[in-house]
Amino acid sequence: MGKVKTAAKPEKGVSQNLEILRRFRKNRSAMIGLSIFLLICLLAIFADVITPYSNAITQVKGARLLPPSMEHLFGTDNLGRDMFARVLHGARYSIAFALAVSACSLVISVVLGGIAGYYGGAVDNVVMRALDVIMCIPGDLLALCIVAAFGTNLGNLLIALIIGQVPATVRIVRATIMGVSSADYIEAAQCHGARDARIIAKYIVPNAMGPIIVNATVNASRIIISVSSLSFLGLGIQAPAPEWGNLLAGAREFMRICPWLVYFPGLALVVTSLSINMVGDGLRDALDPKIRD
Amino acid sequence: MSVLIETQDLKKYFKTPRGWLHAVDGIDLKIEEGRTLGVVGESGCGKSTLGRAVLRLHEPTSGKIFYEGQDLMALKKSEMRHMCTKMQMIFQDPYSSLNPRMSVWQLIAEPMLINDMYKGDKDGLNKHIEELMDTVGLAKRLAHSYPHELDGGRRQRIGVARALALNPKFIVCDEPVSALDVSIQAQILNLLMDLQDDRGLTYMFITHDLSVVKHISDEIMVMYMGKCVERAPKQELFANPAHPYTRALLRAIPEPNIDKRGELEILKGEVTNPINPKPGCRFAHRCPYAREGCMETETGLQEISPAHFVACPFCKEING
Amino acid sequence: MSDKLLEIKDLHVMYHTDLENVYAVNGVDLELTTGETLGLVGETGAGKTTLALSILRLLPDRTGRITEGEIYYNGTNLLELDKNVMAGIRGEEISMIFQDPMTALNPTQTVGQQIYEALMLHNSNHLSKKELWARVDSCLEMVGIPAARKKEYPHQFSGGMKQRVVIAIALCCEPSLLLADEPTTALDVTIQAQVLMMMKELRERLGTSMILITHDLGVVAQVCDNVGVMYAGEIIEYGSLEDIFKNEKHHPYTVGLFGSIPRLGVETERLSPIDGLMPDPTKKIVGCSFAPRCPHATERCMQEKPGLYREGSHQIKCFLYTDESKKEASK
Repeated sequence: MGKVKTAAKPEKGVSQNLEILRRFRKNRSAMIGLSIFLLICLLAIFADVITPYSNAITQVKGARLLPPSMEHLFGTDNLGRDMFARVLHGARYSIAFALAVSACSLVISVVLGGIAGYYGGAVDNVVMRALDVIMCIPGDLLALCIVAAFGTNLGNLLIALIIGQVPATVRIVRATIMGVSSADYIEAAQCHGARDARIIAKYIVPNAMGPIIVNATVNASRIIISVSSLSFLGLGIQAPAPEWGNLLAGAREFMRICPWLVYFPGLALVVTSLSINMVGDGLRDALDPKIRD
Repeated sequence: MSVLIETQDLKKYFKTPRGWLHAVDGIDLKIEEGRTLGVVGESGCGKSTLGRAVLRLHEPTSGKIFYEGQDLMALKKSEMRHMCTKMQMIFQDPYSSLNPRMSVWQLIAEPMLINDMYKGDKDGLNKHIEELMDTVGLAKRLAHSYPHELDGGRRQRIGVARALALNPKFIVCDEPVSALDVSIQAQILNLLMDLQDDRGLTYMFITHDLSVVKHISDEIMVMYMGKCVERAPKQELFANPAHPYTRALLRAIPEPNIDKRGELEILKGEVTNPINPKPGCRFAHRCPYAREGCMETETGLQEISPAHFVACPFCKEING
Repeated sequence: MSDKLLEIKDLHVMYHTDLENVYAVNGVDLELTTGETLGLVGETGAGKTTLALSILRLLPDRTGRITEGEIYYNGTNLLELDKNVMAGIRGEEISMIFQDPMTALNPTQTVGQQIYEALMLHNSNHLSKKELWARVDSCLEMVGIPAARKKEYPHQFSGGMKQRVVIAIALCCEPSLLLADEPTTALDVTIQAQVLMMMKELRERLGTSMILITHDLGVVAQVCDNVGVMYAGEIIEYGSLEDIFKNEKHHPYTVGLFGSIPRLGVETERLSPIDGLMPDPTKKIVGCSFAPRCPHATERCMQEKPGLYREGSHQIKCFLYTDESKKEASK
């Protein structure tokens, strides 16, 4: 066989991940969303530095229901607490929870969906029917029931939200994995003697992660709203923790005379949720470019 | 010449909502070491399933497979896995047979990593990969490129390099050039033939293209609806095709020869899948020579001349 | 004298994406007379499909652009027509069939409905519903499908039958020109033979002219009258069947193409493939597009574009022949 003239060192190839990143970077709204979300995360992480937590919970008798000013950027609430500090520290709860619920439900869903999608048959049936039962009850309502029944601590809230997320995510994971499992390169791997574990870990999961991550990102924005809804109803994170839902609940009585009590937490919720959505959309577009060759 | 691969009454059936699909229905074959068996047929004939069944990628429903006399059906799954160092496959679609997340280097290294070849010997592994890339004509600088950056021809070369990585003796080539452009097809075919000369490889070459199969095979087997209808050495098959289907197939190919214009033979009827096939010759309903009894009884392969087998009892009469 | 049905002059087409430009067609001149079947041969990336889509102005809106040239159909420049007028021409005067019959048909409509729709959109004779459905029946019979099957859905047909339905839809309005893009590539050999013969018969019966795009020289030999060989967006050789299959003079690419294919009647030890790959379509080519792969290339080939050498109906874009003919002329 003719020897090929070999050049110098091997060139660096452009992997699919790099391609996806490049497409994402070109998407303006996605980059804006990402910037806003990262800013909010930074603010949440350094909340203590910007304004101490004590400001968020200290009640000052003389400073009740003050409108926004230089001293109190977002005004004060009916107990004289600085709203800016409360909203800022509230960010920690929303983001931390959203990330925790997303991550846990993702891991569980990938395991369950992966097994159901790869093995099919009886295994698939058992997993999916069990999840169908859970899916009969709307996610938020289910979370409500669990928390109401077992108590309103953070652990229960976490579990409740995760259980609500899992069924729908498993479906998407399973469908994606079934699609990937039928590809020729899986057969090729089997031909080389690869065992199931290696095939799932090295071949199926990396190729299925795209749509799964997009789904997880979009879900995260919903979770933020869910957490706040539960807190608003008194069944989520309990007062005096300055979670945004709590802030909104507390503002109900004074809405008409002190609308800023609603504006700022509400705005914070919307902006955070929206920015995550924009990132999710950008990811989805980057993964599935409409203009192919 | 010793027989490397042998099958006896190999069958593979699939369960479908409409009934049992007899994809491979009793195939006997022998391939000698260093030779190529071309398996030819149209869609639904079962040739791709046959290739996979021989490697036990699809678990055969019944029948026997022998490698160097060893009964493969008697092996456990774990023992069968070890056979991948001796039997490999080149896939048809260069676009879907490569993991898009792995670079060229990783793709070629994969079979060796799975089988613990060059364990602890990174240099040995690298050297072997370089040699393989050189052998198949892939430039070294492409080692860290990804499949989506390369064209069909280069991707198929990766497929060939990967199949060679474990130094197998037997390779099933499942339509390896069908998805490629004409000039690239020629490059890959030449490569496969050179490799066979250099390394004494044995091939089962599956294709629907009679001209390609004539070029590369020593012996050719024609399949129709899961059954072998004719098997003969290459020259003999093309000089004296005996089975009505083989003759129709040969005459249906448009040749790039304007003197033979207007001589395409039309075979009536459709190519179908053998689901719950009725008894009798499967080709009968399309056969221009079908007669009384063809739809009811089926004949096995009969030797009409040395090494030339045909599954039609009337072929001598028909061909005169 | 037969009319010039189609005339393409110096057509340049490119695809413009945010990453790069793809120069798909780079100066194509073409003529088709009424009743002629032209085979357009070339490999992937040669620009054949782009050329066909350009004639029908079906290039993707956002990315496809015809940058230069004219396409005359019966004397009218198609590129200057109003969109609605062009839509009227599609299907009625010029029709197209695509490669993959599996995806060319709407899976949610019966085949009868799909043919009916085509007839209805171009109902210039204002036939009644009853008359239109009668035409649907005759169209199906014309392609060898029993009329009773008009109530069936595409998934109930095999690949070859689906392609016949596609052909029925394309020919139901009796267009003057049919563009067939690899119509039999996806079909089995025996089915391909059926469909090719059917297309030949229909063509003769209806008097349709055809441009048949294919990579299969065998199909060209069986069905076509004239042949154009495309490479990197240009037609580098053109001629009658005799010119292309029998004549000794050929463009080096054509020689390479013939040398690459395994032929039933020819015994060869090794095939002679063409080294290398088609040039990168994202870069504008200086000089002859085939020069980097050509065994006869000279310095001049890399710098200058070759002119056209003509001998009767045979045309070759190569310095080997234009130089030779100049030498002959100067003697």
